[in-house]
Order: sequence, then C-alpha cells, then structure tokens
Amino acid sequence: MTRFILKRIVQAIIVLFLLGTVVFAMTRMSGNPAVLYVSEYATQEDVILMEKRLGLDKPLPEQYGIFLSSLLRGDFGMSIRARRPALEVFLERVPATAKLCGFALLLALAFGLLGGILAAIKRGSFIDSFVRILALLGQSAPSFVVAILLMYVFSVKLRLFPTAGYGGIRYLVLPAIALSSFFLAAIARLLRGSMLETLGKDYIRLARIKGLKERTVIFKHALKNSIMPVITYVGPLSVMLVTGALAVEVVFGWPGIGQLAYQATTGLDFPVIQTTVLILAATLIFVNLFVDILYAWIDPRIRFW
Amino acid sequence: MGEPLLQVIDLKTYFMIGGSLVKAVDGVSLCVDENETLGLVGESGCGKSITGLSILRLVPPPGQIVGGKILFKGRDIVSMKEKEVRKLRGREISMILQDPQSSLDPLFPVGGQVGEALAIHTKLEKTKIMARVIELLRLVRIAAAEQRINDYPHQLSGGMKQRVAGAIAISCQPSLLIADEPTTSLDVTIQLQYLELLKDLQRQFGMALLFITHDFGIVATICDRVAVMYAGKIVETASTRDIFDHSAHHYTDALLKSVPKLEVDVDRLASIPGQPPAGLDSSFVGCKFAPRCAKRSKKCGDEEPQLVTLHNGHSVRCWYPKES
Amino acid sequence: MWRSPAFIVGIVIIAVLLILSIGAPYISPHNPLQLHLTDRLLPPVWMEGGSSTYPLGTDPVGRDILSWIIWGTRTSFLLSVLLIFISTTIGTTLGIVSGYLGGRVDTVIMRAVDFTMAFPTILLALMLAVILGPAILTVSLVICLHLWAGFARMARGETLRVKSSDFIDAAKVMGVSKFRIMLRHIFPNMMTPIIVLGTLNIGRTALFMSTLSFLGAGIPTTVPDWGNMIAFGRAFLLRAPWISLIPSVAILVVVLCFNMMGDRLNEYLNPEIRTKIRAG
Repeated sequence: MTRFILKRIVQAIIVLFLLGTVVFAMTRMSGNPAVLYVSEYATQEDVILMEKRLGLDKPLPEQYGIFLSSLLRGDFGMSIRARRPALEVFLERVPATAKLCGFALLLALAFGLLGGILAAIKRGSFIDSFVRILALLGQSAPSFVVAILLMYVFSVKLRLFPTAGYGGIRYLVLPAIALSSFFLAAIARLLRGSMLETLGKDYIRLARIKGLKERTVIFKHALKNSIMPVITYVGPLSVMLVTGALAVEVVFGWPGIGQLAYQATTGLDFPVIQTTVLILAATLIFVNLFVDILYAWIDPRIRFW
Repeated sequence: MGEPLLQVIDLKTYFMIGGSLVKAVDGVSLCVDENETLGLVGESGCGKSITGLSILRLVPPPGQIVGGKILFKGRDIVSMKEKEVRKLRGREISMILQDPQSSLDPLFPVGGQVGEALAIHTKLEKTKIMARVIELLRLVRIAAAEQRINDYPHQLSGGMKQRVAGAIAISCQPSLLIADEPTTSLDVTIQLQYLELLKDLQRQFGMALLFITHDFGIVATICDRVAVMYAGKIVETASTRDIFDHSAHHYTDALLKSVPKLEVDVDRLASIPGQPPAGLDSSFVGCKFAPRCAKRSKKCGDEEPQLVTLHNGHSVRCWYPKES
Repeated sequence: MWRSPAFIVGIVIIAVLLILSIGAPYISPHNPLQLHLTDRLLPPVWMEGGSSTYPLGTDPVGRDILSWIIWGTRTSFLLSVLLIFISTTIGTTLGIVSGYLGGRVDTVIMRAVDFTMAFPTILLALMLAVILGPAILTVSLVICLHLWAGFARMARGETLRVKSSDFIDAAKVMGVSKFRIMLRHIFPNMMTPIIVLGTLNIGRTALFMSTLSFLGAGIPTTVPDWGNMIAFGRAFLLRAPWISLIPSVAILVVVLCFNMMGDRLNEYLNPEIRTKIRAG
C-alpha cells in the first residue's frame, strides 16, 4: 500500500511540474509577455522594468527557471487592479469559495447518494422515475442557468432569499443549491446504475440467504460495492465544481475565487488569473491523488498489486 | 417416517417480462425427508434454480410466487411474513450458489463473511464466533484456517471459495441445504471431492439436501431420489435406482440414453432435436415436451398430462409412459 | 426504441435546430446584431407591452431576441456538433494508436489524457481570453482540448479489448499493415461507444460553451450566442427577466434533448443494460 501511495505522489509532483510548464508556455505565446503583467496605462519604462523582472533578455530555459523559482518562493506577481501581491488577493477569497463548494458538495453527496439508493432499491416505482427525471434535468442545465432560474423564482418573484451578497445562511442557500444541482444529478444516476448492477450479484443474494436484514444487505454490502464509480467521479467532479462555482459566484455576487477570476478576466488582470490557474489546478491534482488513495483503501484488490 | 421436512405443493412462480408472462415454475410439487438427498434435474431454463430460490422466498423481481404452498416442518413459507422467513434463512434453510467467483463479497475478509450468519442468528460474542468460524473452515477442509480468516476472496482459489460457501451454508446447522449446481463452475478434478465433502457434512449435521443439477452423473453419486423438471413442471419423480433402471418419461429416457455412462451432462446434448421452450406463451396446449418427443401422438398435443403414480415413489407426467 | 415518444421528440427538436441553424439568415426576422434603440427592453408578444415585430422581446440595446436565439443555434448546436466531430476524430485516433502500439507511445498519450482530465479547462479558457482575447477559434480550441481525452480513453480501452482477438491475428498473419488494421478492423468495433459518448457530450459541450460565453471568455459578444444573451440580461432580471430566461430555457431544452437521446441510444445499443433474469 505504501509503495502505491509513493508512486502516486511522485506522479502528482510530475503533473505539477507539467502544469507550471504549460502556464509558462502560455505566457510566452503572444507578443511581449511583459505586457500581460502591467496595467494598460503602463508607460514604456514600466514595460521595460517588467521585461527585466521576467528576464526576457535571457534565454528561454533561464526564463523558465526564474518563473519556477519565483513561484516556489511564493511570488505570484502583483495584481494589476489591486496593486497588491496576487497571492494575497487570491487567498483572501478562498474562505468564501470553500464555504460555497463545501456546502454544495455536502448537498450533492447527501441527496445524490440517497436518491441513487432509493431509485435502485425501488426500481420501476414512482420514486425511481422521479429521481431519474430530476437527475436528467439536473444534468441538462448549466450551473449558471440554474442559478439564474433560482434567483428569478426565489429572490425576484417570491422574495424568499436575497439576490446577492455574503453573510449568513440565507445568502448561501441559493448559490449552494445551484452549484450542487449538476453533481447531485450525476451522483444519483451513477449510484443508481452501479447499485442496480451490484444488486444483481450473487453475494447480495447470499447475504439475503444468510438471513440478513434488508437494511444491512443494502448498506453494508451493496453500497460499499457500488460506491466505486461515485468515488472515481469525485476527480472530474471537482474539476467541474470549479467551473460551476465560477459561474454561480458571478451570478450571485459571491465574493469568492470565481468572482475574482471573472473580474480578473474582464479587467485583464493577468497575474491574478495566473495565480488562480496555478493554485486551483494544483489543488485539483491533490484531490485526485487523495481519491486514488481512497480507492485503494476501500478496494483491497487494488492494494495488493 | 413421519412428515417430510419439506413439502412443495403445486408451486407457481411467474415472471412478467416486457409484457409477457413467463411461467418459470408452473405447478411443481416435491418433497424432501430429513437426511435425504433429492436431486432436481433439468436443462438450463427449466425452472430448477427458481424453484430453489422460491423455497427461500428470494425470487428476484420481476418474478413472484403466485400460488402453491411450501411446507417446511409443517409451516407454509409462502404465507409467512417477511420477518418470519428471514428467521428461517441461514438458520433452518440455507443455500450454496453456483458461481464461487461471485458469491463472496470482494470487499470483506472471508472470516467475517462466514461468521455473518452466526452473528445474526446466535447471541455469541465476537471471539466465540471467530473460533467457530475457524472450526467451520477446518470442517470444509481448508488448510491454515487461522490465517485464512483474514484473507480476501480474491486470494482464494475457486475450489476454496466454494468450500467457504459451504462453511457459510452450514454455519448455523440448518435442517435443509439447497445446493444450486455447486460443482458446475469447479474444475473437474475437484468436483468429486466437493461432492464427498457435502455428503460428509450432511451426515455429520443430519441435513436434508436438495441438489439442483443438470448432471446425471452427480445424481448417481449422491442423490437418493430424483425429480426431473421440464419447462417449469416436474415430469418424473423416482428413486435414483428406478430412474436409472427403468425411467418412465421419454425426456428422462432421452437424457439418459444419449450420453455415455460416465458423465451424463444434460446441457451438452445435441441428440434431442429442438430447443426447450423459453417463455411459453399461454396459448400452448398439450404436453410441453411433445414437440421434441419421439413417441408423441395426438392426445399429447391436445391435453396436458397430469402427474400419475406408477408404483411406490415413482410418478410420471405422460400419457404413454415407457413400460418397465 | 424508434417509436418511443422521447426519441421522436428528440429527433424533431434536432431537426428544428438543424433547420434554424442552417437557415438562420432566411428565417430570422431581423438582423440579430442590429440595435433598435427606440425599442429597447420590450417584453415578449404574450406579455403586456409586447409587439409582434419582436415576438420574444428585445434586449437592453434593442436587439431582437428571437433573431438572436435563431442565430444562436449556430454556436450552441452546429458548432458544438462540429467540435464533437473534431474531438472524436482526434481522441479516437490517439486512443487507438495508444492502445494498439502500446509501450512508450501509450504511456505518453495516457499521461496527456490524465493531465487534460485533471485540468480545469475553464481556467485555461479564462487565461487565453486574457492573453488572446475572446474569439471563436480560441473557444473551439479549448473545448476540443477539453473533450479529446474522454474519447481517447474510451478508444484505448476498446482497442485493448479487441487487440488480442483472433481476427486481428489473422490480419497480421496476412501481412496487413498496422495502419490498415487499426482503421479497418479495430475502429469499426467502437462505433457504438463513439456514438453514445458523442451524443452525450454534445450536451456537455453546449453547457460548457454557454458557461464560457456567459463569463465573457467564450464566444465574443459580437456573435449571437445564448450564453452571451444571458449575460446581457443579468442586470435586468427584475425589470426584464425574459432577456435571461428565454435563452436559459433554450439551452435547457437543447441539452435535455441530447441527453435523452444519448440515454436512449445507450440503452438500445448496449444490450447488457437491458433486463435479464437468470436462467433456471
């Protein structure tokens, strides 16, 4: 098991390097990279200064080295808009996004798993159809569409929730629901399919033959064996969660990383974008690593490679 | 002799598949006495497995028991509440399934799975249960039982897995053990060993054994009596001796005749023309075997024969049974 | 399956989309980019104040929403389908090559797949939008990058499955070149998963594209696109909700339609998913 973990950690580090390389390559893609890092009102001198800082007069590999070393030192450049270190600006926004994503993930897992299980054990019933239709709808609407629809119905028309802002639970509800809708749907469908397959297996039949209570059969044997596809999905899920969070935060004016990225895009604040990309992507790499380890822990067959 | 341990009376288990009705078990009656081994023989699709599952009330949807009685120690399983049936499962009646590869949960260690039934049906505490598990594994002739309890199913061979399945089945000393083709997926070389093991366990624990199979060779080895099934119905019942010496139904006859003496494996027969009926349509009239029967006549196509007792213990469902 | 109502509705919707997208210049009542400053923020015809000149109303600068929606099918539908074709081709090719040739080639391609799938492509799109400015080509590139990996993985899996079959060996013995084997023998075996995956991904593509446009990192605002219109209407949700809601419904309908079709196709083409009872 430890060998497996070590192997995966090494792989993750390699991917991190790849990430840095890709971002670096992209900054060197068009024209004068220095322009990206200064504001639109920059003078010729400002540009020359930036060129010096980036080491644009030096050979490319050395530039790459400068790039990587400054990252490792924690220097992610200066936000053009805020005139503060980009990293600082970024980190300030993390709690808000963490709250939103955390709550949304909780909702998605809780109701997604529940829905999937119910639909599978009551196959063909009304509940099954209900879950399947909701799941289909949930996966057909992008998060921001759900966000706008929810906002329109519950904030504008019904005035139950505030439309935008950050504060207590009341501000969190609609954005979290909007963000969770896609994943709730996906998890429910995945689990339903997986459980239906598992429930047909002989060891489930044997569990019943032993005289186990149906509840035990479902939660001890069926669920554990069916959860794999859902766990596999957590990897791509977190990637899509980022996409969704971005849009939802913009719609609801939620002061998180997503909104920051949006403002940076429209405001051409490249250092902030670069920071966002690097840190978020790195986080996702670690999430995937974690998922792989979780995989091995649950399924003993993988451990014994 | 007394009451039979298990008495299945006119059992009907039907399936509703995509709009059509499949009569998987269509009026099956059989009985098993204590300490007796009854073989239930037939081709795939004849309904024998479903019969076994029906006895435990574990028919998978979209099937359900629609009629008949299953008397176990005098009580009717069909009319019991689910809670009561659950008390019987694993405790009084147990089952060994066909495919050893899939009957064990891959995510749990073997010891725990063997002890699961004990944990529910007895009030023993964990250490005692584990001790009993080790005993059981030794009984089914698994070497190094103390180490094995922590192994996972994928670390065991097919034969060992099937022995573990045996251990699970006898863990609470049931009165009736249903074995659904337990040796079909095993290597030929260990099939005989496994049968001997079952016979041994049966003697030790005084169980009745309902052995579902398509292999007459197995029947010859361990069954006291035989029931032959075709298209959801029992077509002949007799002692093993009577079946081999003078079978009365033409289906049984064809089965026995067309394969060399040593291994009579019904599924690989090519010599009976035609196919067993899959989902019979309700408009079918007459004896279900008639289309493939060499001895059929007009009456066979008009009216379905009833089960008739020829002499002691030997009954047959045929208008023109073979003379002995 | 061909007669199931869901499938028929799906086919009808797709036909409508096809007609609208190809015939946009002829069907659309107005030029979608044309501003009608005197007719701004008009509600749809069924509401008070609406007029039949602008059946679905107008946006904050007086553009006809119906025309925008009609022209918008070109990006949400045609472009999505095109991008799927491209990604499928690239992804499947790389997947087959990777699976068949194995070794180093396989490792490299699979690493690329892993990397792509772990990367939040939306961030890439944002970065590119800042570096290069929003453009159709940029979005297309990003989306293809986003999608190819899934097809590659599937194709590789199928290739591995089929690779050791007898008929492949027979072809090899007869001296058929590797290229021909991959094209003529391996590729036809994955038509089914390709069709299913492709159909399901059209929905995902439309979702992704509209999200990008909404955020200003997708289709430029000078091109009619549903995501863009939703962005325009955001500030007017109280006064003129139809501006955002109508394209929202449009996206929902299109994606729903493709998801449903993809599901039906999946059930139909994958017999293992159909119910079976165990033989007794």
